[in-house]
Amino acid sequence: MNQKEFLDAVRTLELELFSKDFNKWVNQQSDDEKKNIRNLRTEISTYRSQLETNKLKVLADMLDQLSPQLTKGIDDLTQAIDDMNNFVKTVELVEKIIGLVARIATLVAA
Amino acid sequence: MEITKIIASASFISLLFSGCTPPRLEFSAFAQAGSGYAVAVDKLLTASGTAQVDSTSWTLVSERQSTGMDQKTYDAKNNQDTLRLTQITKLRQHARLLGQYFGLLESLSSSDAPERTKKAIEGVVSNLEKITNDFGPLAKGLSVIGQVAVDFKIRSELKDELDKRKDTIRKSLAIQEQLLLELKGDITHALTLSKNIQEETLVSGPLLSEHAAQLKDPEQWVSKRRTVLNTSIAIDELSAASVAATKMREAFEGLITGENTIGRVNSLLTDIEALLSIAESIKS
Repeated sequence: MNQKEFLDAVRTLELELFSKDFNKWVNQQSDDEKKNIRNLRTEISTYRSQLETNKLKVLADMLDQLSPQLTKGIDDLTQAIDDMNNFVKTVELVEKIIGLVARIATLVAA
Repeated sequence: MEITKIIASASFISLLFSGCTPPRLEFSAFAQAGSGYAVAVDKLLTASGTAQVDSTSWTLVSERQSTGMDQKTYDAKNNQDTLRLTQITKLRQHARLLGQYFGLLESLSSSDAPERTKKAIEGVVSNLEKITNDFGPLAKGLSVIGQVAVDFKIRSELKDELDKRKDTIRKSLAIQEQLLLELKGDITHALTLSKNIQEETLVSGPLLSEHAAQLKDPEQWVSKRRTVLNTSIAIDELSAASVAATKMREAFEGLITGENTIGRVNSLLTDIEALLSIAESIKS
């Protein structure tokens, strides 16, 4: 039985423990027995949740290790976009200056 | 004639140097899909947390009705939910980081810098012509050369970035694929558990009860029954989650190897839409 099959088995058990038929049977039990059942169900639910959370934790830790590289990529891309915008702004500024010079030259010539 | 030659030469040089660089449109489509994918993963993570907390709440309700309740049971279940939400927050942080990365990739790939450069150079040439008529055809081709050069620069930046980060993105997408499989299992179980308890507590219980007061609002009961039974549809649709993850990874590999990925990306966008819709239906 692999990890996934084991988790699926625990899940199935939990579903059975909270099923309508099981609850009908629980209702017929003594108070002490009911307390035992409550503890058992809590233990199973807690165990299932722990297994699921642990799997997510492993993946979260793996992704965490990649975060610095991704952050570096974000910084590099931001820089590339800024450089591109600055270049275009410079060309546009040159266009404006030449436009102004051309207007003055036209006025002087007239 | 001269201008045509210059433009043709500029285009040829651009093609020569960018032979193995995918067109900006492909980068842009992939980056857009990547942003959407990251949002969908983030929303599915939130939905997973909601489904988990709700299912715990329903087990507490069921437990109280059948065996009673004590502080120890409540604390144990509460603690598990808190631990789960902590991990989900961590995973959401990474999904947002990935979304930010793809968002910037999209901004760069869909930049209007080449067109703005062309327009500005055209303005420069036109104004210079007013000052002096001593301009040959070379000046007239400058704007096109400028546009091609900036476009080439952007494509090179995009390619360099993906070359530098391809292992990170590849690993990240592979882990996300595994994550979506886990989430599918977690959400399916949480929804099934909630659905079974809700059906007993809100639907069959009140209907079959001997006390008429239990079913005092039939219209509300019909609405609750519909909501509970519709949970099965959301569970069935969860398989779209893992399909989207696989397609995202394949689209990335296609982009890296220079394959035409537009078809893949379009199909992926449909799956992302489906994923967002499932996440919304689970949360509500």
